[in-house]
Amino acid sequence: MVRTYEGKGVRSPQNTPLPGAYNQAEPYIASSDLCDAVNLALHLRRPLLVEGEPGCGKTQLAFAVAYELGYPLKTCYIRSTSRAQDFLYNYDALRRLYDLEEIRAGNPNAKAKPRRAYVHLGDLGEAIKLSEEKELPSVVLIDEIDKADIDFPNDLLLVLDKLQFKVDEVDDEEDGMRYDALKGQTREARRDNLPFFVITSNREKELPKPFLRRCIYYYIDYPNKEELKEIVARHTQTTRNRLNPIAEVAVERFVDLRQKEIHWRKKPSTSEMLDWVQALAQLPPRREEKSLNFRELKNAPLGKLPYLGTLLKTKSDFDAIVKDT
Amino acid sequence: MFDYQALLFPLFDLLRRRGLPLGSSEFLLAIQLAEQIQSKGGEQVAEDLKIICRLLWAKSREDQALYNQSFDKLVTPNLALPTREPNLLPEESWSEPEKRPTSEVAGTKRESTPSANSPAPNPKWKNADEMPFQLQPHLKPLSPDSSSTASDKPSSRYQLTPYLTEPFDKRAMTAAWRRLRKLRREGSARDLDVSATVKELGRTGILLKPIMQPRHRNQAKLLILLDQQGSMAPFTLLTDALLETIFRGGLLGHTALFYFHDAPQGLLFENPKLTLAQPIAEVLMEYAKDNSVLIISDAGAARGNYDSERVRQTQNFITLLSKYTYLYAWLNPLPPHRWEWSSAEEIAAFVPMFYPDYAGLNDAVNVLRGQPFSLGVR
Repeated sequence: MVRTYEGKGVRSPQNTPLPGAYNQAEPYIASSDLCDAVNLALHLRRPLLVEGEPGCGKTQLAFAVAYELGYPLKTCYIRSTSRAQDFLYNYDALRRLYDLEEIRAGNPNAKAKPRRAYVHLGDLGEAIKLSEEKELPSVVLIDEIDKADIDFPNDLLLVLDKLQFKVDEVDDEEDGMRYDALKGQTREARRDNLPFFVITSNREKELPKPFLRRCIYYYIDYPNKEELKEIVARHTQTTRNRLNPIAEVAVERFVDLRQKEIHWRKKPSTSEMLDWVQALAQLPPRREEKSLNFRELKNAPLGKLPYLGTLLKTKSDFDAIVKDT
Repeated sequence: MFDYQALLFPLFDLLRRRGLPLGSSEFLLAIQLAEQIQSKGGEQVAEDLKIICRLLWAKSREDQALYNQSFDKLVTPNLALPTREPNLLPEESWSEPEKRPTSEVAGTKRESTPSANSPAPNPKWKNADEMPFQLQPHLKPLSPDSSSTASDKPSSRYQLTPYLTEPFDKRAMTAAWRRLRKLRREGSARDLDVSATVKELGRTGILLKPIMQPRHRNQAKLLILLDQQGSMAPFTLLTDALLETIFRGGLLGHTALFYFHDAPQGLLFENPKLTLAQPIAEVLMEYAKDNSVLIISDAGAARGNYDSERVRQTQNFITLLSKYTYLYAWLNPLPPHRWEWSSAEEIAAFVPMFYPDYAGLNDAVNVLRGQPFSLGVR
């Protein structure tokens, strides 16, 4: 059974969850272009590289895809010091050293643990193992790849290509630890059992050519007003036409704010908008205001919007908006 | 079967020559997918083809814009051909001739798209078991940029969008800068130094304390001195690309950028408008000492005259610079044959000067890494 991604934020009944599937419902609406990109990448089992301005839902996409397809989810969050190997496995040489020392000092008859006991697979390693041993596909999120050292994408190439790795520290033994998701077959033949990579980038660094060549690329555009309303509706568990008037006006004011042509230090994005709508729903918190009226919200100057701090994150943006209105 | 190779190759070739990271496997994959789409027939062959090739071939927003433009120029007209002259195609290749993609290629509206906004998958894929993914139904008719993800509206105004062509290529520049590195262990000690620990263990006979070491990090630092205004104005696109690739190449621990006009002397400027001046010796002391220094200037080659004053000033600067570092290189946006008979030729005799094409950049990076070089116009 071929599973396709429909981008509606609901799991269709034929996508029965696989063992270990990611089951947290993700109210994520994907445009039809984005669905095409996901499905093409799924079909070819090539990594999907997603770019877009911060807060437009790049990371959420991986969650949504895993949820809709009923796949397990593995996450690799990149830090500036991340190395590709850390996501495959870690060998705790230090612990082994201590254990051996303990045996030597305390109990000479005790038997040392095998080396493989000191190997901890990372999320990427787990995904490959899952595919090889249990024939289970998964969604692997590699988040903010541009944060890592410039070598990181290149180090990852071989793994993304061959979907195999070995644990060097246990390699010399008879039963070395080797994992191979492709099992010597073609990518096409093993397609539905392979991990599916969703890679996000903020374009802080240009990624190397050989890496880009292998990816399907998609740029997530910022949602328009109607799409934003739909997103708010999904997140407040209601339907688009029953959206509460405050939220409706809030989205409109948010769009007005975003359209201001000031020199943005950090333009507010969808996630900030959702926080803001949620904050507005909790009014009245301030004593001097009886309750929030949607007309007031509609007519308030941008600089006087309640809870502006959820939307604007720097003083210079704040000052510019206040000055502008 | 329609000859997709002939149809798509000009586009693929153009994109490749513009520096998109594409290999023959991407081309073959596109052909294969195109044939799958076509064998399914349906209303949107042309549009689906455009979407799929874009997903496969374009790897950035700039790529996408270039792709959309080139697809409309190179592929769309030829794609329209079979519909206008159906005899060109063997009949049997179309299982359902009435479903032939009529007229949508020419950009007319397709009202008949079945239930395009219904949430159910488009019925035409229902039995398509060998086409296991489906494209979402698209509401928009195929107009030149109907399916572009970039928000470029068709406009009657003419807009000049300059772009770099051969031999300059931003991705190649990034690749060159990536080689500029100086790996040193720095930061907190977090990795076990196995050999040192074992040695210590052998020496003392007991494990007192494991020996840790910091990780390797790139410690290369770069000072960029950019000639600004006047004869450098035409090269803004190139210098912008160089700066962008250096900064976005993102491998350098620290990059400092200062501006000058004609020849660096007395003061260097933090601002491209040549304001915020700083004494040259202070800048060199702070940023150049034992680091790499990259100078970008035409050295008088753009005007093509010989300016002995400029040569003298540059010579003084290089003498000063060499007190701080010997890792310096000069990029000249004009090709070497234009250096001849101008001040650039004389300056190239005492500074390693390169033309920033692929080979030149690599040579410049080699010099910045400390490799020996030969002077003069090559």
